[in-house]
Amino acid sequence: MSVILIPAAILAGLGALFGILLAVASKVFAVKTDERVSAVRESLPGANCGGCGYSGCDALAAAIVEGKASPSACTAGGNAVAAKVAAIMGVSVEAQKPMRAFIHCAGEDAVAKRKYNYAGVADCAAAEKLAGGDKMCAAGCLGHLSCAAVCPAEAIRLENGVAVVDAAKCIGCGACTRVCPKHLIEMVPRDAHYIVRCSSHAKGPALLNACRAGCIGCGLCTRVCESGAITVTDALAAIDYEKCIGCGKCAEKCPRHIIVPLSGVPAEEIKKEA
Amino acid sequence: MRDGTMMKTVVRVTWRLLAVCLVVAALTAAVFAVTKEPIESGERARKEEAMRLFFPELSTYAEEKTTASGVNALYLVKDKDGGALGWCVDFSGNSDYGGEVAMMIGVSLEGKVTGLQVISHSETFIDRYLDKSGCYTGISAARGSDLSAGATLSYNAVRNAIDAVEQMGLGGVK
Amino acid sequence: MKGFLRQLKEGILDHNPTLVQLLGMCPTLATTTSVKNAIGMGLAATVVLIFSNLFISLLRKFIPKEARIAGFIVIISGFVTMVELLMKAFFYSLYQSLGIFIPLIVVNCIILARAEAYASKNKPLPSAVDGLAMGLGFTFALLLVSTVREIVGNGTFLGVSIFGKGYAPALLFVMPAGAFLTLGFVIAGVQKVRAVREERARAQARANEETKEATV
Repeated sequence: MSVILIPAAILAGLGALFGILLAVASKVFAVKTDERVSAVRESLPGANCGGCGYSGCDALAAAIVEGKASPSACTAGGNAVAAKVAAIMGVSVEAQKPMRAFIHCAGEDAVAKRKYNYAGVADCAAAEKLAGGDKMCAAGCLGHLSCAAVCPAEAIRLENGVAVVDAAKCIGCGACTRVCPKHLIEMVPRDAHYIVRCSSHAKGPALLNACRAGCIGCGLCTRVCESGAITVTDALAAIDYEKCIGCGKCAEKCPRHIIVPLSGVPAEEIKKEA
Repeated sequence: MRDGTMMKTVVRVTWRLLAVCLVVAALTAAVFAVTKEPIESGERARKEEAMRLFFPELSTYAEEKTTASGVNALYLVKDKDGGALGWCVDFSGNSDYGGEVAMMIGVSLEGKVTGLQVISHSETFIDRYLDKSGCYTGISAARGSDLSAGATLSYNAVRNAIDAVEQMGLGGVK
Repeated sequence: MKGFLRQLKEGILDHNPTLVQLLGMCPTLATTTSVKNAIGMGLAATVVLIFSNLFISLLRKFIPKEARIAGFIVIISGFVTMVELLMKAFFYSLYQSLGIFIPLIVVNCIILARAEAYASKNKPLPSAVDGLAMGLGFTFALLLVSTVREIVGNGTFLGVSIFGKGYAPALLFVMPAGAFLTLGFVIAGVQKVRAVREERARAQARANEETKEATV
């Protein structure tokens, strides 16, 4: 009988001893945390996409509670997440328009000329260091898909040599905008109507020499715009999405067909339907 | 550092952990009770098997009193006519690393160690020195001389066992 | 039922504790010198996994979070002791061959990992199934490694000689270095199979996307 009782007593004694030790330690070594941090963290999507600019959802939760980041900083989570986080933090937040990424370059293989044959690391930042990349146009997408590599939604793919964002998959986190070395990617409202698919400030002949597709800065679009939404600055047209009413006249008039509807259907098709 | 919540926490954690320990102890005790008999009878059978290995004509064995250290039991082995065949020592040796090596040692009527079998062991090195039936074969020659210089703790356990048994001075019996 | 079958498949293949999660490698290396020992160890660990997962899940709200690990270990070591006693009573030759690795099941990280990651957060029945799934996965891994080691390093399988008397076994394989080598190659093989399947799944997904776009 003692063969059973003695080990049982030892086990019980050890259990009691360590119970006391652990309980005391949990109080003495307790780290004070704001419970809001875990509540905010629970509301975040948890994908650690980095779209907010922080290293992950844990870091953003801590920053929000500290006051360093706004409750609506999680663009990937959208308005639903922003509302939850704002409720925890006890503030109100305005609903923001859902955004998507757009790559302002139409320099496909057939139309964009290359300066040299690049055989280096398949990374846009690396290629950009070699005299600005192998495209003749200084604002041309180099096509190594460094943007796709950081995209948590696998929304970017290569089409004929340029990167294209699939709006259906894009979660609007903005990670790609930070990674493109030529800063070609812009977060635009999902409901924007038309967009200029070029970032080059080169003027007419210079641009045409580098790429047959880009904006030459002729300004014809500005003359037909019904709402004054499109302007040309430094030989590059740009649309103010708040003002644009979607009439499509700029896309019709553009001699280079560089203004495209955001749904991705080429301008020519729209003209045919009209 | 003690205050109200500290005491509450200590009591809560301690009694719960204690409860878990007691439940586990109870279950283990139950299994122990169930397996006690099979384990003991298994050990008896293995010891008998060892004795049979040393003395093929074994018919009965009787336990003798002994106070030698390390010896669990001393058996006088007899054949079917009641004649003495030799001795068997149920020995618990200690290896240097604290493992217990349980052995059965066969002793001839002249007091010489004739066989050694390891019954159970808690170290894994000893296998290399045993033959297929678990017998330590380095016995018959002068003890120790036929073992390699790079001996292991198992060798020490075995050697100490043989020494101890020979110290017992078991002699002949009619 | 479907959930349980999926749990089993994941434990044995997709999330195999040893070959994918890289847990419990120490007993894998040590007990795979023969297929018999490997299966014995795998099944012993599986029994412990099932019961400790079940128990820990039943007590998950009772074990204080400050003494979580202590509580888990008490329960796991209790069941390992019970398994050891049962093996000593009813499977003595296996008990002898596995030797010190039976009590070492207590610190097999698979068991503590599943207790922490699953059993302490899920209901008892799924936890028990998880224990079974992970245990079978562990046994499967042990089986793979021990098959290679016993056949190549000893010329036998489950003690039965395969190549006949003329075979000179590659002793390296039943020694520790061989254990590491074999385990390494088995894991590499498993990772290759997984990579190929993932690539195929991605290609299939892309193909589906393209057919969808073509119809739009």
